[in-house]
Amino acid sequence: MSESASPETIALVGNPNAGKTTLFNALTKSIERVGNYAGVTVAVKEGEMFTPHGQKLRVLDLPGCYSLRAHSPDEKVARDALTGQLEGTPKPALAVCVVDASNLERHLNLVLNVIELGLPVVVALNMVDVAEKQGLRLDPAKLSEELNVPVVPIQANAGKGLLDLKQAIRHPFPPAADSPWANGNDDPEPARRAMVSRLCEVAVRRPDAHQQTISDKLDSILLHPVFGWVSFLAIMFAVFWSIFSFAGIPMGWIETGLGNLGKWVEASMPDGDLRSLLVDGVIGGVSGVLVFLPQIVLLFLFIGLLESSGYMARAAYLMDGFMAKAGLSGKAFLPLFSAHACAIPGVMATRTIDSAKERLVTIFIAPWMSCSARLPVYFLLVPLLIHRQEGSWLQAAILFGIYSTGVLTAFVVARLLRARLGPDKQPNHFMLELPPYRGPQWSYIFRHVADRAWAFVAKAGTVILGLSILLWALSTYPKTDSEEPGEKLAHSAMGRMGHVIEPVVKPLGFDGRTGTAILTSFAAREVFNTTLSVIFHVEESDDEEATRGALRDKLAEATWPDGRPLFTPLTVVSLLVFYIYALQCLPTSAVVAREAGSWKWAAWQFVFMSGFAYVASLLVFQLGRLFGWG
Amino acid sequence: MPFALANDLAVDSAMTLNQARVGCDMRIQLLDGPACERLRDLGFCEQLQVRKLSNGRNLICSVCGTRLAISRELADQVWVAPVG
Amino acid sequence: MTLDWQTLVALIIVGVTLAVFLIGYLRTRKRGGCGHNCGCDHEPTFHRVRKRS
Repeated sequence: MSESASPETIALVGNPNAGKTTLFNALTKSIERVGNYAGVTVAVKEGEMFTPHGQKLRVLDLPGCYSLRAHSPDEKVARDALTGQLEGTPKPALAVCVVDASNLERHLNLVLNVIELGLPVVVALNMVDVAEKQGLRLDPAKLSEELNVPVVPIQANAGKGLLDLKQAIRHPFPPAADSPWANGNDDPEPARRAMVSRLCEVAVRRPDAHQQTISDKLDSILLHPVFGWVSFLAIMFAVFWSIFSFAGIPMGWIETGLGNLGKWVEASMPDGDLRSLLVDGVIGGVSGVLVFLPQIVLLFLFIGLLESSGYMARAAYLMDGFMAKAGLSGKAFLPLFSAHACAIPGVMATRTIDSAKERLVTIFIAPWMSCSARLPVYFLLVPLLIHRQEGSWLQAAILFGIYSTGVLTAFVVARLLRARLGPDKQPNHFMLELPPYRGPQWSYIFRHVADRAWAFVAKAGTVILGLSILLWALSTYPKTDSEEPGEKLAHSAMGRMGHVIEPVVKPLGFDGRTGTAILTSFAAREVFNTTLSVIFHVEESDDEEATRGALRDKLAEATWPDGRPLFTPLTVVSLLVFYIYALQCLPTSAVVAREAGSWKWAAWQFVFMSGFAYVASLLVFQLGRLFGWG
Repeated sequence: MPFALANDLAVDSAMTLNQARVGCDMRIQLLDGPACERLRDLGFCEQLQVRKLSNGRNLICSVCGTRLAISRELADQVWVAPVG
Repeated sequence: MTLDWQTLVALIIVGVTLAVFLIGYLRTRKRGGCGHNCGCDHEPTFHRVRKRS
């Protein structure tokens, strides 16, 4: 047999939430995102694995589908990948059907569909532990005999059975099996169902009685019309509070560490531009973002825990009624929730939504689900509102309010947009699987959080670092002979920019420095912190005794030229409102353009959101002044 | 085309899933409506046992050990009869 | 005006940084879109779904 130059491709196919991605991660040593609900994987992921004989195989992780009748874009991607119609993805030579052993009655339908395609198939009988706990008695050998394909019991999240699975998928691939049930029938549906019944009769023994499980007991509260909502809000608030209180201490360490580093560099070098670059630019700029690493870690930790528990499906169920008022369905909850980590995966996750119009609306409002890039800005500004370091409850409440504002406004806009788009041709109905609750897979969670944390640090060390250097240059050059720090800044490029921008942002309560920082944050939201940090560091006198205090303190002391405090509570609120609504992420716009199918949507979204941010901020500040809160 | 088991469709005791009582074990007799293919893909197949766990805007049912939530409109397309 | 060594080194660093950004930007334009530096999911292999005739 000839050696093929490029590795063969196998595809992991199965119902949503059957464990395909967990298996994919185990086989290819990847850390693709997993979660205990339908619709986590919405794009084809590629990886490579080696069989025990050293043969390399290309592995495709496909989005879950209930059948090959694709109703939503993610199911279409799966079907097209399987049939070789997905551009850029090779047609798989073998399909590994990942089925949930505790759900064979529902998962075998897809297996039959795949066998009918004429592909060689290996069935991976996953979650055998769950099946066992439910009292199911499985007979993989019998199943294999009836289907004429290899059936391998595995437990992907524990790494069990993987060796046997790899043995089954080594070369030569098992031959494609016949599909005798489909022969001679115009409509294979009833024949398939009859075959599934027969298979379950011989290979699966399920205790007849409906059993009340622990999940059911939890659901009696969590899905309760009243207590369900109470729990939901309580859980969300608890997450915010935890982030505030637990992040405080490590944040202090980072701040002190970076502060000391700055002091050391300052002491070891003579006065000059390079020293300023290092201390004011690099350390000042990067620390403005890096100190918030603990908050980022905690955010992703809680999101990971929530997603892996199975609670997300319950939340989607609870939110369905409320979201219907916005013209959306509960299914839109899951992408919108993901958007709180980063809008891009959230926008892509809308592929699970059947209705094209609902999908567009969800994509349009996704950026108003405050993403993790805004966290450094929020965490910088919120403490300015409440002149105390302590008070986690109050800070958490304010943060909760910030997120809620984004969400509620988004729903209002969604409603209006949905009305303009008109009703769907075919009505779409709510249907959702509520998977059993599962304990967190700690090894995955830690690797996932570490991965995100590293991405955050890497971004700080590359993009933010580079921008800090450039911003420092803009704040330092051109130089003036004056020793007055205010003068020096005013003379620099940044200062001049600030001068130009100030009339535009003054009605919002901001000065030129803040305005410049807002402008630069269109490159990346965190750069707001960086710019302010660089500006305020550079502005400080080069006097040895000048305190290199935290940025917060500097901001609290900042003033307008006439001595009025710059960051009054009203200004801070106005600034927060701006950041809730402004769309400042070019990568998001690019993905929106792709997923929505046209640049017009992305462009309108940008124009609308930027305009909205400006007007909202303006209204807040001016009305606040009117009421005397300024 | 509805998949009808003429013999099993006892007129007296057939009802939609909406009308079924919470907590009773039922058997699915017939799926009839525009979304019946999707319902079957999800797991609501003829001859399977189903138990309604709760009412509301969206029903929660238990089919073959899985909890599924479907809207009232969908539940209207599922005809069931009590088991036994 | 003679530049002292600190200013010289600082300006060189700034220049290099600017060059790196420009090259990176041009490369992204070629590849088409998402800069992937927001720390989100790994590159989702998005493909235009097109049927082969």
